[in-house]
Amino acid sequence: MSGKLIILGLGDAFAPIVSLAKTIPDFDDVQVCDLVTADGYTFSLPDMTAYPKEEWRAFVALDERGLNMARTQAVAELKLRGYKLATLVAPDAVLGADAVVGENCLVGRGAYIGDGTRVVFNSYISDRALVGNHCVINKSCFVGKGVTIDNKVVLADFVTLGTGVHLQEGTQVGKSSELRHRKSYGGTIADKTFYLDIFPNPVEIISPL
Amino acid sequence: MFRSDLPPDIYLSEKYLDLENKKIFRDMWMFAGVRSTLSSKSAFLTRTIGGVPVVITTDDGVTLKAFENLCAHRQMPIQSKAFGKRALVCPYHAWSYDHHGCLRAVASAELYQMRQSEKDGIKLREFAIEVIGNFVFVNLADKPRPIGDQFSAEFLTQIADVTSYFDPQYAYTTFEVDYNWKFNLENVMDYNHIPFVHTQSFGGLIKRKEAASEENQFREDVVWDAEEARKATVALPELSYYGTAEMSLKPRWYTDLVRRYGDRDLYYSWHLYPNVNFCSVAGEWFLIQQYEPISPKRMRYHLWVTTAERLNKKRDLTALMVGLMQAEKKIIDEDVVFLNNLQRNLHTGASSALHGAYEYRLIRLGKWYRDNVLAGEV
Repeated sequence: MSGKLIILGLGDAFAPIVSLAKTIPDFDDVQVCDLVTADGYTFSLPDMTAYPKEEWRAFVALDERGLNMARTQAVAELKLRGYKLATLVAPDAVLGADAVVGENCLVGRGAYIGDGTRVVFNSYISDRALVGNHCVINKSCFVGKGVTIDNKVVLADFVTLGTGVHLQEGTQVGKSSELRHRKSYGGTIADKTFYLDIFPNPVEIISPL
Repeated sequence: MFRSDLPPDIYLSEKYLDLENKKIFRDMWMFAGVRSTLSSKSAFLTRTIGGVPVVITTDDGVTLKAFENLCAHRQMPIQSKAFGKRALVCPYHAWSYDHHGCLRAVASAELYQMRQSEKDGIKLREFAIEVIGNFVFVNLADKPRPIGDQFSAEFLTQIADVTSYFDPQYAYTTFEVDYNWKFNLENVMDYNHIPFVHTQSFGGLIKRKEAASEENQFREDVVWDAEEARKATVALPELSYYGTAEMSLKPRWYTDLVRRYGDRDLYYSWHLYPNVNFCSVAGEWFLIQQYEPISPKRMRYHLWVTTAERLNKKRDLTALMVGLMQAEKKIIDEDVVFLNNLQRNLHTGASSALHGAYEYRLIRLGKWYRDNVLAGEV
């Protein structure tokens, strides 16, 4: 571990993640850098000559939703440039036996990751979220504060879980779905299903069948 | 000014909804869905039209059929989801139907002791269907009028043209509100409520003068004769129309990602009588809204959002569509506050609406309703 961490980001996630990183003993030098954006939707990396890849690890801090994709693009660009990506685990988070947390993943304060669970890549597990045993949190997911996930749950890529959501044992959440109704979900949830606060029923994406 | 002679009861009474179901929803061509969502084998969508459950399906992605969505056996809905891909098989006792709605097979057939002649006579009730561009219409009448009697040829051509710009991917949802469906229809036809009700949302984006002159072909400098309006006869195709208004928009990040309809920053709006309004902001994305009556004082909103056709099909604009749908819902919620209040306070003894010149389309709508829905019935 180099001890040097450069965090690139924007938006609501940025400041809390920087704050969290500064509590992690592995990093003695934490610097921040804004991603470059003209429209708030598309991002590019800034000039990083002050942070050579041989000395610095990088972390991309962008919050959920459309920005899951932007975060993915920024991470891919960093990897292309040869940067090693950091994994941020809060000092008081708990990782179970054989739990794996991948690159550019974050496990927040008081969060719990169960035995054998994999947080694969570029996913955020927010403060006090509880993830059960033998779950798979695939790429570029966002698990909100206080979410409870029972055992053997699978989140496909780009899933967002809002604050207070509960997933029952064995639930499978389809790709790019967003669950924000504070309730308990079970079974299989189709790709691109959106339970949003403003709508009583899910918004579903109909593609050519 | 023009005092409507339509009683408040048309917004309150089951009797009038029954009349509307008979003379409007089960007699006219009703928008039922989007053609491109029915482009593969066994694709289907379900709707309720005039209280009748309808399934629209295809066995080859080309030919569409519309049937009553009730099994001939015990009246169970054959398809239970809003859309999907599934053969016509009733989930209750596994009676299955072919593309013509004829009974194909019955599970545990020996239990029924059904004669071949009886089996041959079992067929789902079929409805007329028309596809205009990307829009699918269904007509429940025994002898449907030609669709050209409901919409002008020019209007149908325009619908076919603009809907050809739709991307095949849609965001769709429904929700219910506590007011009569006609209040929603009248509200979307009334551009003058925008600066009052939508001040915080899109009110500032629409230029009123343009809205008045283009969308409603209304000129404030022409003296309007209420008595002449009272005498006029209104033809059904006049109730469906199209308009535009200038908008003040900032640059959008997705403009160059789609095959845009037109090249100006216009608000486009199409009104399809009786219960569909679809609009577009700058020809870059489209919102379809439909108001399905549930009871005299309650309706179900159906919302579809799509972008103009993506130039790169691999570019996922799902988040954009969902974001736009949320933004539209916030605008609708601004209306809902008012319309719920209107419904809650309306009573049989209330006076009828009083319309001014700019509301001439509402006046014509009311006249058509009186002459065609109420005539001979009330």
